[in-house]
Amino acid sequence: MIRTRIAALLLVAFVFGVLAVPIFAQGPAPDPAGIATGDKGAVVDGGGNSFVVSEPSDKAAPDYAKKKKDYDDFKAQADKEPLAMKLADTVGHVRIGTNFSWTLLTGYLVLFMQAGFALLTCGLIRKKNAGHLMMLNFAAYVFAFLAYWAVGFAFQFGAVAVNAAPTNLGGTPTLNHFLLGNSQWGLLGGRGFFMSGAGYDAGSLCLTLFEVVFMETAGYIIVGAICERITFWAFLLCELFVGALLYPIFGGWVWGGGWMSQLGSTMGLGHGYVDFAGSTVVHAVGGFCAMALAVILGARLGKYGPDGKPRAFPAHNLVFVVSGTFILLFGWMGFNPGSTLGASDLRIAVVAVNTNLAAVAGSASALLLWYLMFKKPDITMACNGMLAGLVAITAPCAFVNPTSSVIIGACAGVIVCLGVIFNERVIKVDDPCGAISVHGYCGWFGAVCVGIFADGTYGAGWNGVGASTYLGTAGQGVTGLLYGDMQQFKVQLGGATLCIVYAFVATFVVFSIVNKIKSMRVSREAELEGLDVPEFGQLCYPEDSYETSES
Amino acid sequence: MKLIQCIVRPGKLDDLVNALRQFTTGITAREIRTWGTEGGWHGTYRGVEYDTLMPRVLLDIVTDDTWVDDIIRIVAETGRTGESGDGSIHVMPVDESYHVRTGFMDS
Repeated sequence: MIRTRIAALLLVAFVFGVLAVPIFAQGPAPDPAGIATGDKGAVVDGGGNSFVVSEPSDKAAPDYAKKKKDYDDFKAQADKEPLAMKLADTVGHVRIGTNFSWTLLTGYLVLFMQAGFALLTCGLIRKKNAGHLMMLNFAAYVFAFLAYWAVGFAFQFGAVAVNAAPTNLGGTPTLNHFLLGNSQWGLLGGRGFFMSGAGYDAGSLCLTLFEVVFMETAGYIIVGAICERITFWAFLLCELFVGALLYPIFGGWVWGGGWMSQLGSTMGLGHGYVDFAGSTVVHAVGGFCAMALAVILGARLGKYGPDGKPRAFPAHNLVFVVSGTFILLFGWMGFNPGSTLGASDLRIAVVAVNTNLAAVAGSASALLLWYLMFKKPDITMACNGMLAGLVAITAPCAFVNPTSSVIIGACAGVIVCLGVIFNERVIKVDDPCGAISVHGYCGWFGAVCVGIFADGTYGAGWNGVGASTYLGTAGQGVTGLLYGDMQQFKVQLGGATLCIVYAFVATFVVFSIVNKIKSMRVSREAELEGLDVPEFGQLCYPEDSYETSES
Repeated sequence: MKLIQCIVRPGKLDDLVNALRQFTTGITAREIRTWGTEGGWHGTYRGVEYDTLMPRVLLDIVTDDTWVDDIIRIVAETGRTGESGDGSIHVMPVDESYHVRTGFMDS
């Protein structure tokens, strides 16, 4: 008891120690009203070429004379037509407004995935633990959100303006400081703690809304693997850990302008590590965190017979499972297309179709493979197959064509089936909902697929690589192995593998220690009875007659 | 007075209630799970096979002694499919019975 209190005090002291400096540091002024966000500087054409020509500063550059002439021409034109410049300010503001609408709306769709996860996981477990599981899903959202508000967002995106400024949202110039590392080897962001100061900005908070629901996705992935046996207090610790540290740190490396995103410019590895919407950043991190926790907790009582053979704990409500899966598919229409952070990027249509194609291909291959292997198709595996396809297409969705999406989805459907069998029968890690297989294994696979199937039609200048030409072609984007870029494949394979090692080892070390101090698992009696009453005093499905007494 | 307990196939419930209506004043039905001579119910979940109890319906019918033979005959005829697992019928004596509303003995 005393040890836990000391640990809590140390945690609080650490958090405030880290925060004190950057909160009060000076930087570009934030724009909480959103009035100054989006002017003529935000006006670009379809190819991303700016309307405003800026004055070249490097006089030694070989094309200085041409750039200077372009600037002088623009200046002369602008002086002649002040009304056009005024109009350009309005156009820029409207463009940013369109992108805000898109980003917020898709963020709301991703938020709705919480309901899908709750239904899916609840349907897949036994009736006696259903109330406990709903509480886990609920608390995951609440507590991980607060952890992300306090430090998570700052760790992940506190330096996003340094390398990966989201120009579609006005660039969020206030988020510009690495707490650890420099602009090439950034390790930890350092602005926007408590979403105040530098974080109290319209563009920054638009990004926050979209990114916090992504973090929540990683946060509730773990529920699927640890449910039916974890205590509530231990689960809250897991959520705080994911929301404040595990997810934001890796996310910052890839999306916050951190060192993995810069591997293209620093090491010449393609466009750096590319994960469009989070196959690894969100799903593999969640999946392998879940795996570490499932290993620490051990299998549910009775899952393995005395002979070591797995037993079936059938899903208690298939209606929940299928409804939940379709809600997740619907939410994924925000997850992937929304990751452009703007509707002015018309690739969103390709992304949306690719996402759906991979989903149906994944469920078809999982369903048919199960049919062949066990003579009966299994609806829960078909649902897992759909999610597997979605997880796998999440990283490559913007960079591949529809045919590749079908191939990626179909492969993911096979991986998820083999993964479930492998977990259950070979390594004997008990995963009630298949979260490790769906999010962990297929997440890794999805990120590797970017390095294989990316066809170079999209992503020119991604992570600051090849803005003018790439592989000798102007406008060539992120390119995979099949289209001639070996370096991109290498960085994808290495990066995805690093992700799963990072997520598993970090979680395993931290929670092995927690488990040593106090067991994270419920008592044997509680587990046999079902966790609803021992943990919360409430049944998910109480009898009506207990509730309707008139006196 | 007798209590007749019948374990029958769930799919036969409607037919049985219709056929028995003229012989009884009330039928109570419960969803139950049984393990009889026909064995249990064989399921498969995510590739793991398992056996469990079979879903059946249990009917409770309280009746005058005069109707017992008719009821047994109707249940046996209506509930039959000829396959193993059609169920069973048990008859036991009832000492007393009352209506909750009136508190009087039902004759």
